[in-house]
Amino acid sequence: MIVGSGAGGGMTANILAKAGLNIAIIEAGPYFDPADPEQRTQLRWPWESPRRGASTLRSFGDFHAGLSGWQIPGEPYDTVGDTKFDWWRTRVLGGRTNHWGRISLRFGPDDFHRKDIDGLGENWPIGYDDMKPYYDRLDKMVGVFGTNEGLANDPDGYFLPPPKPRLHELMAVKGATKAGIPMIPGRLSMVTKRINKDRGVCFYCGQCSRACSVYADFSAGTVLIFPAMKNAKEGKGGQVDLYVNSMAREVITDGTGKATAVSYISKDDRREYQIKGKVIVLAASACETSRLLMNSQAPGQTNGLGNGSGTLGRYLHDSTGAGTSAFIPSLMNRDRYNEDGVGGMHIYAPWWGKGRKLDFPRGYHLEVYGGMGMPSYGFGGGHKAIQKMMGYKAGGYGNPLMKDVRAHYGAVVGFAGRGEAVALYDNYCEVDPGKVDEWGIPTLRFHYKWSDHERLQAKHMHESIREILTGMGGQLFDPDIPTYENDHGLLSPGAIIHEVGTARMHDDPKQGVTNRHSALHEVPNVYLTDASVFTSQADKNPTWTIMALAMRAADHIISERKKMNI
Amino acid sequence: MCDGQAVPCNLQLMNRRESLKNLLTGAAGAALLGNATSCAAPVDATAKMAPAGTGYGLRLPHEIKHDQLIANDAFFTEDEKVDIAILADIVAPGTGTEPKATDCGIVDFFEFMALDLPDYYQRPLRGGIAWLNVEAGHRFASRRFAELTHDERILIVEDIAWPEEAEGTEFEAGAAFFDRFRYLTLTGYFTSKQGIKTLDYQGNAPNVWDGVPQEVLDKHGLAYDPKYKDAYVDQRKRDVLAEWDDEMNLIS
Repeated sequence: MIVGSGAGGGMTANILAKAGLNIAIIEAGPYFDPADPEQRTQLRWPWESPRRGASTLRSFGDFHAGLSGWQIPGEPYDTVGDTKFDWWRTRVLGGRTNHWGRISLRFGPDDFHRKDIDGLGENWPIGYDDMKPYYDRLDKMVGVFGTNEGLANDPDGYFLPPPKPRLHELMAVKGATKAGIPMIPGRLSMVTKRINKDRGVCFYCGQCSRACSVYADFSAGTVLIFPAMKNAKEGKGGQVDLYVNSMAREVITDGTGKATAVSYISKDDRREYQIKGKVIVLAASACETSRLLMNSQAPGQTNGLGNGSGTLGRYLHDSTGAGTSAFIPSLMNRDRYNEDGVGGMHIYAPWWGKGRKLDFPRGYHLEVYGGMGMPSYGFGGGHKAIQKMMGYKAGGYGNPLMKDVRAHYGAVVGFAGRGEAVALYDNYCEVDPGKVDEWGIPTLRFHYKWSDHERLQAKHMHESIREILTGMGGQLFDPDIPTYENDHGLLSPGAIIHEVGTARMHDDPKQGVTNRHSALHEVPNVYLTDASVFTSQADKNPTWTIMALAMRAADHIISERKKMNI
Repeated sequence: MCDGQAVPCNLQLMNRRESLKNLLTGAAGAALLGNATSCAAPVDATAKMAPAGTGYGLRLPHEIKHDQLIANDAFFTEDEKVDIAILADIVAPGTGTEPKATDCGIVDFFEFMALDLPDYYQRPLRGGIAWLNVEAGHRFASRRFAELTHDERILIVEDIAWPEEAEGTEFEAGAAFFDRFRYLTLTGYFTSKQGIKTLDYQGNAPNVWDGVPQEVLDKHGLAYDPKYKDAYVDQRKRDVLAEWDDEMNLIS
């Protein structure tokens, strides 16, 4: 009984079904298959949307697979005091994996025991050696392109071959090298070389965020759940029952404190139903999973299920994010050719600062963007800033203006830093005692503040990025680094959509919610396979680790079932 | 990339529809999709890739409702639409070979966006058009903007087309209006079927990316790092099943 059909839920479902277990998956959003011509947005032109792709209804644009987003009608959340927290929800089969950036980075050995290294936060109870076999299996199963660089904390993998950099990326490498920042091929989960017979090979349309109709990029629905359902139909593997439009509400337990079912509200009739399960897996995304536990109880567990430690909801943290862009005059009047590439960067800069004397503890990586992308609502909106840089009057009309806009096309390049924040007890989410959503489920409220560890890291991001951009011959849109009072330009917590924690893993049941197998300390037949279990995040996007942990948890479920322990 | 590899050299010269067909059904297509008998889903998917009827992908109930409300609503008056058309064609007048704004459905787009983003567009555009007509009346003996000659209209536009110059003058509000108007015209133009052609965007089609064309590399004095020469995807072998040795090296 799995709640959530995203990276964690999808992987758990796939592994368990492969082992012959019968599973039910409940997903809050609708069914989605990007190969269905009625549902697909890939390869559509901007004019196929009446708003030309504007973000009126969907935060990242009308064609984006991120259905729902920051504000879901009927499903509010609150922030307390001067907290600024942006909470993203993707309500659709496959969840965020339909639109994620596909940046697939293994944690390195250091990332599992940061407290040993800098005294901050907490160590994971497991290490890279525990995880390596799962990362290895994951690489081969799902596919990620990249190169083996022998970097100590950005481990090698079973990579598919990476695509050649685009023009602006070659320039970025040159500028970064000048600044002493090595850039290597990106590590993204798109199939650049055939990985199995069920999935197509990438055809470089650059629209991964719309989900892929040939399944060449990783989405949990297409890559994990559909194959499991197909196997079930063919009698190979366990039964897979998929319940969409079903909002999980509570984990049901019996008198002995064992979990027995999940109750959910069907969005079709607004009535409550229950699905029984010998094992309950929660993978609804970090805060939704902890919300479910907070809204559940068992004998002796009245402060939320599995919350004997009092750390449920705590140690919430998101990636840090900051960046800027520049106009590159040498990229004016570009030759036109198809450079869509994959829907993400072909190169990136893994953290290069280890061993340097810095005023912040944790690292970050740099992502780069630019190029002659498909126009969308907002296209042409940056001409005034560029006109000023070029030394002429900003504004205008007529053919000279149109000529300017065409000349500037593909000449803007930007970088974004994505880094590790320190997990703090005081950054947390909790149930709001006075509010329920439209399904009658108590809502969340958030408490979150960045610390100087993150602010000073963001300052460094801004300095490094400006150095690279000017080294590329770029003219900065924002020459000044945002001030300390503005958090040195840190995006709001939650904005990067890598929020992790709230049910952290710890060997000590008094200091964490889950054990080293991703199961609740207090309810051994409840497993959490999303990012709620993360003790710390790393300068690496969470998804690859979510899936490796989900695989590992699934293996544990299988072995525990065999031993009749659960 | 015409470098003697599997992708036919004339692929770049084909229009999008033909290149799509070629990639998916020709020799390159077989390579792209693999054995037709062994991957039913991708072949079926791409065969149905022609745009569907009226929708544009999965839409949620609240999204459908929002668009239905717009479809049953209206904003600009006929007079305002005439002014929008005139002014938009001043922003994007076209040339012998390029469409002007009104050739690109600009008025319908303005109408839709005013209903879609009312707070951002309704008062600024309506008020600005009213301002424009007041200005026309002041300068040209009570005539409306639509009744002016082209040159007379340009005299007004010149005073509001440069926001920094208009700042602190009597034209500041007019310039703020024109800035928003221009933004919507540019966006509407380049995201339209007719206008996008003038950008010469080459993407949004199945492609085999094999790097920056050599002549472009040369022009910019750039080259691919020889260190990665054998690491980058060999597009001739993209359909060969990936295999690795125990040292994590790709061997197929």
